[in-house]
Amino acid sequence: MQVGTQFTGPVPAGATQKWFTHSWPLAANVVWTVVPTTIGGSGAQLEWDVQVQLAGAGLLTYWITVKNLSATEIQVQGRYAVLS
Amino acid sequence: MGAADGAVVSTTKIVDHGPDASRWCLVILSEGYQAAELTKFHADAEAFVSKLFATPPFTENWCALNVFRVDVSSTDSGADEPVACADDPSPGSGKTPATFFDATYCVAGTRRLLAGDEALALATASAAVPEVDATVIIVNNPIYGGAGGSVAWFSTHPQASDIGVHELGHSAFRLEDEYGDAMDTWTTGEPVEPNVTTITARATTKWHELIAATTPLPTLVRGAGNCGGPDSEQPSPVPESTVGLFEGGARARCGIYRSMHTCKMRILTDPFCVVCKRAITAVLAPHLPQFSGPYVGTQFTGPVKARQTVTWFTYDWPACWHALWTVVPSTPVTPVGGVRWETRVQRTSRERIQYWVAVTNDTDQDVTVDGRYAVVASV
Amino acid sequence: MTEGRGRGGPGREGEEHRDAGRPTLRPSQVRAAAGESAGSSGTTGSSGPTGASEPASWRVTFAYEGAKVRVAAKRRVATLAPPDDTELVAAGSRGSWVEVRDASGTVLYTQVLHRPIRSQYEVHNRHGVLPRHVAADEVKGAFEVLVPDLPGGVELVVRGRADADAADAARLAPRQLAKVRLEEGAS
Repeated sequence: MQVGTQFTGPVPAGATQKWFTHSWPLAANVVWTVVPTTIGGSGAQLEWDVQVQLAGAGLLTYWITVKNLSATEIQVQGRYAVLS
Repeated sequence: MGAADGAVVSTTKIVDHGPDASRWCLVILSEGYQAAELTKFHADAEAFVSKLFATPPFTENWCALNVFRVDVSSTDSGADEPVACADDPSPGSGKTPATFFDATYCVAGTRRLLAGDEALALATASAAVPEVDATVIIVNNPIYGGAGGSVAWFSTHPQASDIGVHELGHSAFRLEDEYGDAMDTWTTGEPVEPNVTTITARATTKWHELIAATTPLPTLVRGAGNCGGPDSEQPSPVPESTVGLFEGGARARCGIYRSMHTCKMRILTDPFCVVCKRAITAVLAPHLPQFSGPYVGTQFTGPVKARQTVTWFTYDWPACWHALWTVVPSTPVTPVGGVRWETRVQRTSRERIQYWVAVTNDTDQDVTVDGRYAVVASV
Repeated sequence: MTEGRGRGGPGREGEEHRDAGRPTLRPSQVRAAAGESAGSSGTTGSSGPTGASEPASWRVTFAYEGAKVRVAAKRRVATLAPPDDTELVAAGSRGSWVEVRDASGTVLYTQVLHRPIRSQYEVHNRHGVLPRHVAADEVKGAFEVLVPDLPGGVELVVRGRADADAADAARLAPRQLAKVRLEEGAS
């Protein structure tokens, strides 16, 4: 199983930030999770969704949209796990 | 003064991401803390760990680290503060506390150089943690100071821990300084350190794959006749985030280049540049955990009334685990519609995450749901 | 059913919150499961929880005074050594590094060191001013290297300069500073 961090970066308070990552094999079973690395004590900080595009023969592009639910800028980390 | 003036009291693993043989192990030693002050050392060590966690690329590679706190008590508190010091007209207090590592200010006639017995520090760290990869020592004294070498020394002044991170860059990650305080021009061969280079050819320069085709090379030069000291800041002709060849590094002002306009190996309070982050990651990444799983199970069960939303929160999940949530209705059969859910995340501490799973019942019947986790976990 | 107090936090206005507790998956279960799969793998030698043989390295401590560098300690350790830097050393010619060599002198592994012989101290400041260096009162200290215990790796060689101040040392061609046998009991 391969896991790793694909992207990191800031998301301003209340804002949405979209990352894309390309050239993932179509056959790979990839799941995406996003976590904040900014410690925040007053409630949920983010949510995310994933869109996927068949961008080339056998190649996927993933678009991960992260929404900052908090009142301050947060740093986030986008992580992948290739299950198969 | 020395090892007779204190004792190694205990070793505590304060960041635990699995087996020490596989993780990158940082040891934090205490100097100048009396036994009754070791609780303060615990807080000071925790503050340094938090600082490291907040410093990319340690943040991204955090799951590769284990951190140990080695409590060393000293007979007396603090560090030597010589009265006279060559570079400082103000007298020091003159105190000479008896401490385990014999730390003193005014090393090499420079008031803010603070260091002690390096060989004893190395031996103490490896005796406590045989798997040690790097060692820092926190000296219990509020005056700004620190020093590098094989171990990084820094005081409890709020800004002194920046010295610790920069010096770890040298000792643990073999990074070169990125300023020019000693030489006009570098006139010899290519350094082996990963973050400075004499090679300016676009195709072969040390970090060529990180340089955009449109970035001019060299990107910033001091100009003929401007290589004399002292080193100085020059404005960047490109955006600060640009990777290129910026003249000045390895203690020479000209003839050698660094990758970005600034970096923590140039100014202590700046972030590491892209090339330094890459070099640090190259050392840490092999220590990242092997992942296993997925592990699946049910975390919560409960009713959700028709057309209502209920949010479950679940806490103390290790941040190094990758967790996915799914929700299924377990009863009753609903001929029309179903449930949907949203997952939200909160970093409640450096090592822990709280999940919020908001479940919405889109039917006209009350349903019971199961909230399931699927976790890709590190050991 | 409990309200979202304590660990819950405010969440969103008007939402009902319920406490789903701590993970039902325990770290000990993960470690045990990983350990079980390692035990059943049939590999020889000691196995750690990661399922692979434990890494092995040599930790060698050097003490130096002036230009003299000697081995102060040497010990085999079950831990992962830093990655190989052959590419950096092949592309460069100035600085310090260590080499693990086999019996015929072939270099099996290389690791860059940054100025292990400290003849100057770096002086920092908290005002955003560029650092500077000052000469040490004496060139005396210790450094450690951690290198992998490789099959056929019998010798560790340290290359650098110990005879000049730090700025000059970086520009001069490195020399052999020390050589040590990588075996228990020999230096």
